[in-house]
Amino acid sequence: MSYLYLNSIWLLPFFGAVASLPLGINHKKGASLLSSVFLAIPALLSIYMVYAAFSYGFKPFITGFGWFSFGSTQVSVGILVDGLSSLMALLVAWLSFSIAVYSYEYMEDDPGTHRYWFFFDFFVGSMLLLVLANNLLLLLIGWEGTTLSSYALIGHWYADEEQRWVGDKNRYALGVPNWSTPSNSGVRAIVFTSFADIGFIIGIGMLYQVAGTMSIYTISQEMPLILTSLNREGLLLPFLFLFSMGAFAKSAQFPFHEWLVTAMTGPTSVSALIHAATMVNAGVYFMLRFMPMIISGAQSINIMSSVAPFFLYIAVIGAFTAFMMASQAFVSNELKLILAFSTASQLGYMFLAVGLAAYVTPSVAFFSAFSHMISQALFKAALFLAAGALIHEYSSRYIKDMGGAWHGMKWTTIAFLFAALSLSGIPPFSGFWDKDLILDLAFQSGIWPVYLLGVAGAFMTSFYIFRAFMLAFSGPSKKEIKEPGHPMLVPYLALGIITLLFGVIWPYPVNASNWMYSVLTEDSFVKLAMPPLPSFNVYSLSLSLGLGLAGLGFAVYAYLGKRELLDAQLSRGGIIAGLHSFLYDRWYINSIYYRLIVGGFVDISRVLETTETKGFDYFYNGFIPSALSTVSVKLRKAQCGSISKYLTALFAGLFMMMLIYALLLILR
Amino acid sequence: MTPVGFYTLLLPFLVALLDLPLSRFIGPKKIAAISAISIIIPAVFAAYAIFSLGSYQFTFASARYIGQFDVIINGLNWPIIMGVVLVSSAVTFYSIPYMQQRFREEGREDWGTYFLLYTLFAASMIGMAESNNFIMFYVFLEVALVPSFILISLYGYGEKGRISTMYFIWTHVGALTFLSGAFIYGVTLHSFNFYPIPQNLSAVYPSVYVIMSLLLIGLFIKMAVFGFHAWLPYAHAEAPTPISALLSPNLIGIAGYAIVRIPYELFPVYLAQAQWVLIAFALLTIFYGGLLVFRQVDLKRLLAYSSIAQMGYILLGIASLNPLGVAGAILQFYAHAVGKSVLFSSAGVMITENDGLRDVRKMGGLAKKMPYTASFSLWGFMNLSGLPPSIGFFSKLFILLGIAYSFMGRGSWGLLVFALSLISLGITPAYSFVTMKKVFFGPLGNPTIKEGGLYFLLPMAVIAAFGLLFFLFPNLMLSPLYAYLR
Repeated sequence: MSYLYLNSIWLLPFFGAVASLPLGINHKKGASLLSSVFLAIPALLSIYMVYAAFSYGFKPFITGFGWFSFGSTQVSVGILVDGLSSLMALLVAWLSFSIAVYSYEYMEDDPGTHRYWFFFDFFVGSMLLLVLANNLLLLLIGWEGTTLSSYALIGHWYADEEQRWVGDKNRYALGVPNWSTPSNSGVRAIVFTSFADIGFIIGIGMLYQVAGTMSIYTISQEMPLILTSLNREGLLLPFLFLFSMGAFAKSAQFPFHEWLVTAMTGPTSVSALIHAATMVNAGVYFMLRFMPMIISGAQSINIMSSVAPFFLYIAVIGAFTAFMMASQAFVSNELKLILAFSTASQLGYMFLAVGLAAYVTPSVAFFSAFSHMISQALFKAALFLAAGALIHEYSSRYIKDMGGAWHGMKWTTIAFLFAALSLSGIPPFSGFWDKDLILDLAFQSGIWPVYLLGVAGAFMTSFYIFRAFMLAFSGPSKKEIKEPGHPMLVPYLALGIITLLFGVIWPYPVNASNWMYSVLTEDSFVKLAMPPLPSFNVYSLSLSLGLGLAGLGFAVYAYLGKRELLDAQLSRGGIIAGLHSFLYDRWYINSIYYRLIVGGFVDISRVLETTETKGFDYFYNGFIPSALSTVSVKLRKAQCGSISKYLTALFAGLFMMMLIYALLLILR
Repeated sequence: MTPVGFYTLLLPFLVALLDLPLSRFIGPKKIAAISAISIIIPAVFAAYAIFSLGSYQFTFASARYIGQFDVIINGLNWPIIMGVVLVSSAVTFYSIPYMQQRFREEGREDWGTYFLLYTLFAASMIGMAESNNFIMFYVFLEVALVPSFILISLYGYGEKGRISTMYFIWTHVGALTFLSGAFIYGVTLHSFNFYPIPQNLSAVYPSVYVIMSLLLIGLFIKMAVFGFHAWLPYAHAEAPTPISALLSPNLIGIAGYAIVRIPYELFPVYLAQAQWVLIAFALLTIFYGGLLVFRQVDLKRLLAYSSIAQMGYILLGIASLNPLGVAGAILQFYAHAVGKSVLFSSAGVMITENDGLRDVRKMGGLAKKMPYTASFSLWGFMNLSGLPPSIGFFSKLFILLGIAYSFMGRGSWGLLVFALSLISLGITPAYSFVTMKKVFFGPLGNPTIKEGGLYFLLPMAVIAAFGLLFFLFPNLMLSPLYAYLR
């Protein structure tokens, strides 16, 4: 394998970003083409990389040339290729390229094309760097690079025109606005994620303290020693929480989920790429990269019981996020919001799977998370891109303004339907295999609350997505609409079909097991036992599939020609309307954040301002100067010019001195 | 060693004195060019010293009871010299359109005086960075204070007479506290050298607590650490903007450098006893300065409070008391120099080009009319928040690595430090991007606004580029620095 070829996979998008920025100011088309070319080459190279990794047996392959050093630590620029990173890079590179093709038409008339393409390519470079990095420092650079470009692209339409908002104008929940403008959403995203990233960096610092290296491979080999040392100092759990904090925020897991909802103010292509298919998966990728080493390290030194609470925490947070976000998608009126809730919910399933690793066969749990991440990336990108076409055609982000899209957009309907079926976990789509595997594992683990939340989520998932599907595509045509042009249509249609194909080839066996499972675990540098995949548990399978079909059927029944049914219920008020508001206002969590955290900081800053003006400022710049001038006025009175007073003072002083001298003599 | 380093340090002082007579014959652009070149030359020599000689030390004077006066250049002050020179030389050109406007408002044009004072100010900051001796450091400090005081009182805004006096008095309170500590040190040792570490250093150990407290309080006042900061928002907000751009990152940051150079190097064992005090002040400063940023409506005052918070970062790095964190603190000086000078420059563009616009509430949506200023401001805030590809990424990283390194073996108190660092450092991206939103995004608040000219934008671009350069090639700064600290 050639170093240059492999490293140019992540380097080229950065060059594309730099090249397209000046070009895009005057030549929009040129910038689009140029930056797409800089994404096409990495996409092709990533195939080469997977092929090369395949012929190498997916053994870890590390390149690196020295970048800088401090003390004895060398930091290299280079990549780590193994099953996980090569497949992930393949996915990222191809999704980015296809969404770039989509954007070529979608962003055609946008005045800010140069900014768009600059941050688009910058994002892809950062994301590929994150995925391929051979050391923690490079990973962190990619990680924060995606944060930056996500911020810039969420706020792409920075003038905050009303059609770019999310949420309902003038709707307040507990006195907090339900809506968000693009510039506001950008701030929310970057504040949430970079706050958590500080924890991540402290975690890296702790790891570096113990391991003395930044190299991911070396860390993985020394994991037993690292864990022993952390465990001895009682720092194991604090370390795990801090180290993975960034991942929770990146993947929008509770309590860091709120930023992803409002991130939908960005262009839909950006939502598809960054906030559905790639960046938000970075947290899951992080988990898949580091948690296997932690499990295998903990197993080898017999401290599984010390790390288990952390995995339980991951599972509970994941299941809770999956459930909560699905319930919010239940009632949402905006197509993109439904998909955003759905993304966070699906990411919750992946976290659930990662968390189960401590309770079931770890390799199977990690594989189910990985497989679901790939499925989700494919079908969610398709859903978002199709949604972008719909929103564009109807000039509205509300599903209530849509309807009967089937009549004008047959291909879009098919793509959306395929993706929706996969999301609902209907066989033979890919979502079926991995979601059922996750729920099966939850069933096996015997952690019932987590299993029940997951199963309830599965029902809601198929309901909300088919609710959206029915509202948007069925019924009489509301407006004269047409399919978008090929650059937009082909990417999501292809993704819809790939979703189906991926599901069909999913069970294809290699070495008597699923092919992807073999790729991931067979030659991984993390030593985990790798039993064959379990066969499906009939009870668990029929329950989750049944609930999925039930949700689908219920949605079709409720919205087929009877779209006012639920709305009529709501307008009657009472408990259903209360529940509706609760879900619609995002469980009031956003409001609670603003009230408690933002409001708390505002209150503190008010107090501090008073401290500043009445305290420090007054003391230093008011009290001390005026005290000094008062003293000086008083002292000046002594300088009265009367010789007799001076003489009196002189003798009084002399007398005092003699008195003191006498006193001292006596005391001695 | 070659005396060239000493001559390069003298050069800007000579040029400063020449600026006044020269201004009768040549225009401001040429004077600016000459001054800027004279400021750049010391950095060129410093680069030569670092990369070719490894380090540099030249004794140009010595006296009994005083010690020797050396010009020193090594890994520790190399980022400081770079930061000072980069900002001061670029801002020289920025001064031309800015001061033109300011002169017009004040009704008298005097380029000679301006550049005399400006160059003196910049040159003496280089001098502070290259000093090895308390007396030399103090003399350069005075030479920096007087011109900056005069510049504020001549060309400042608002109640400039009162504010410049306040600035002068408070920095002198700091400087004299520092000097009294230095006197005890120098009188005991019969030498005022702090570098290289004197052989007979143990002679001061009986009074080390007094010396260290005086030095630290003095430097805390200079640095505007929480509780000692009351003078800073006035001075930095009301100074003419080119001077703010020099004052805010450079002059106060040098006090942070001095903490590393003097107490950290001389009395590491004793400083370690004060580690909890340092960390408390650092976190308080970050938290306090950061939260007060949200309360400001005046853009320059807002940036001034952010400078206080950034000084907390430097102190936090130092408080880790290990090479990782201290390297982070020194890098933070440079990152802050890049970030804050660009931000003050952006604020200056708004003031000059838009009739003294400073009120954040009257801004909004400016990115549409000022795309370059908006981009540079974003870059400035990225440096402060530590986002790649800015050098601020490395400074924040190393500060946190240092904190993690020092505090992970300290039980629950250590974890408390982690938690408080998390909260305090989380405030910086919040105020940065909230300010970006208030100023540049949203509906356009001020339709008549216009972008600054080339003389404004080019210096900002140069400063910004040097922030990227040291991110791409961290070895240029980090290797000598880290090698020195170990």
